[in-house]
Amino acid sequence: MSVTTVTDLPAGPAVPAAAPALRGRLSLPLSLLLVAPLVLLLAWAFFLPIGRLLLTSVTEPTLTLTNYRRLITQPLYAEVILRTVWISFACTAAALLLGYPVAALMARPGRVVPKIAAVCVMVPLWTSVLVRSYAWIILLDRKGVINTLLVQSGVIAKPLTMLYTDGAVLMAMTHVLLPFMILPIYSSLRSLPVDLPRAAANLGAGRVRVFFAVTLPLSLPGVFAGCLLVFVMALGFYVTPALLGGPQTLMIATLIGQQATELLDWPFAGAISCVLLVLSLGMVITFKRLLRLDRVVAHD
Amino acid sequence: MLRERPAAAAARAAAATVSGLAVGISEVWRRYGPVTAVAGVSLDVAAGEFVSLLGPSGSGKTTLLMMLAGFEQPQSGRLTVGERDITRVAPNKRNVAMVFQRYALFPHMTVAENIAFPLRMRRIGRAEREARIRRALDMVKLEAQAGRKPAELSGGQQQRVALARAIVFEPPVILMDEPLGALDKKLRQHMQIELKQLQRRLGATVIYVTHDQEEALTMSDRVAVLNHGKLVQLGPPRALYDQPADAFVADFIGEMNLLPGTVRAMTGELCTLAVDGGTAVGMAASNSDGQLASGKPARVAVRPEHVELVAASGAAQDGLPGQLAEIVFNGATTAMLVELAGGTMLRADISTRSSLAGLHPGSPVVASWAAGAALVFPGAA
Repeated sequence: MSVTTVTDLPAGPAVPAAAPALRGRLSLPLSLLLVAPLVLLLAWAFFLPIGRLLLTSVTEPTLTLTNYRRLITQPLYAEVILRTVWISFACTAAALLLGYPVAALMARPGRVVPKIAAVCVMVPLWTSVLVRSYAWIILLDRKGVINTLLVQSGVIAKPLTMLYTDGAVLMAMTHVLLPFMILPIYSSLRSLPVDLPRAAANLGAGRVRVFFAVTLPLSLPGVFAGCLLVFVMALGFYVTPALLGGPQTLMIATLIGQQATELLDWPFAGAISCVLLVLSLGMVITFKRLLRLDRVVAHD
Repeated sequence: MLRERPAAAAARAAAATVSGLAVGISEVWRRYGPVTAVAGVSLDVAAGEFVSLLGPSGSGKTTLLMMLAGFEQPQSGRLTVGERDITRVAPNKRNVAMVFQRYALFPHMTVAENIAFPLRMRRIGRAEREARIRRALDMVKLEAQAGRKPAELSGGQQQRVALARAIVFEPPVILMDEPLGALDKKLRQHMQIELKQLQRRLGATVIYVTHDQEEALTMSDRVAVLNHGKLVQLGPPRALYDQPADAFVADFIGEMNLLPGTVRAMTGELCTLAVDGGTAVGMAASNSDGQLASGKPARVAVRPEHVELVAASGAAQDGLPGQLAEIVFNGATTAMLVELAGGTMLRADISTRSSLAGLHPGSPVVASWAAGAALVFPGAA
């Protein structure tokens, strides 16, 4: 995560960024040598198994498209895919609405408040996803904290069913993925020179108009990056939906897990993985194409 | 403290349709923890006047400007524009334009959109808006760049856009925070003249922050010199140059020799000092009342162009004996650096045409000046 501070920004186009000069520092062979370990690791531990998994989806038992036909013809699977997309979308929207104000708070000038906000964002990030998901179980369970409180205080007579619903999955996923929305937005807000909102105010814009005319448009690169990150991560999210979702809230990753580990139907798991991969890549490419991020803003 | 109103302001009022308003700063204080940024500054700027706030970094000039713009709050004191008290008014309701040091152009808007911004905020209709944008672009000679983004412009062009954006809504007061600081010297000098002409034509009041004393002297009707948060001196550039209120102003404005010495005798306002094994003369500074007495430490301030040099003849001569250390050719003038007997350096600017033949580095010389050309400030450095 690169965080550019205001003082790092060059005065204008007359001062070229230092990056291009640095780019040429390492010779090509040296660069290749340095990335080689990662490339080898990825090739051996990631691309190879993925490739084989995807390959099995069309080769087993014989060269066939049966696995994909099954995905299309059985409404259950289409439903799972649609639900995954919808939950990911809702999760992204919720994370954006909740995360932007936090990012704005973190980017504020001053010392105490931004630091506290930053700690509140970072500490959960260092906690295991498993722990955070279990925490939601403790909260949402029929005998959990919330139900106990509500029943004891007499607000409701019978405990509510909150766990194993779309809502629970959505809420917990939003919570887990929130930092990935906040950090890119924070980064782009931090790199926004303080003079710009000030200039807008000076020229007659009230707080709301300063935000919508200047701050928001100039933080869009961070917003888009955050949305893309959260959406793609949500598409393939496993732990939280597996723990908090019931059979009614099956998502793609959970489905893949079931097929592979419980039903040992690896070819079909491969087919679903392929769909997930295409969905994720498709999202990334569409986003980049549609938004032309580099052209939206060139303020440094 | 000098408080003359320049006659120029009155003359201008007749020539241009003055849209400027007077700005009042009275007893303004601002502290940040233990640091006092602005310490009880009072300053009245007349409508249509060009006043510079001049001082080194940390002198409080920028804080003062930020308070006028509304980005900082004074802890006590009062700010007015015309008859209106703006001390607690939100920045967007002050109707006071600001030109930022780094221009602060909106990077996601074109030049025309940038200039349209203040007009949109004031809900000015489309036809009127476009006419005004065209006029503003014409004023800063950027008609051809209307559709470009700021990143596609040069520094000087960006500066002009910032200016156009600030004047397009016809503000009565324009604040400028070192607006030429990022430009190279030649462009800066060119823009100084353009800025000044533009201000004359508009009739707006301008408060201009700079640390560049040359810039302040060139452009301003009056200059306010600030140091350590205090207003040290306020006056027309010429008065600051000829009659600095204290050693700080003397040193800060223009080139100045400040020589430490000891008072030997006072004859009315005429002060004779012992400096570096020689004798120097000067007039007591106006606010030095009583502090200059025989035996007290003092500093004599003399401009390099007032110092006269003659070759030492061996006989006793009035003045400061020394050795010519360096001859620096500066074009119209030549700077002669003299090392006085006690080691202090003294600069004399001699017209290049009046060649001081025979003088070369190492020559023994005697420096002197007319008593009226030098000022004596009490106290050691």
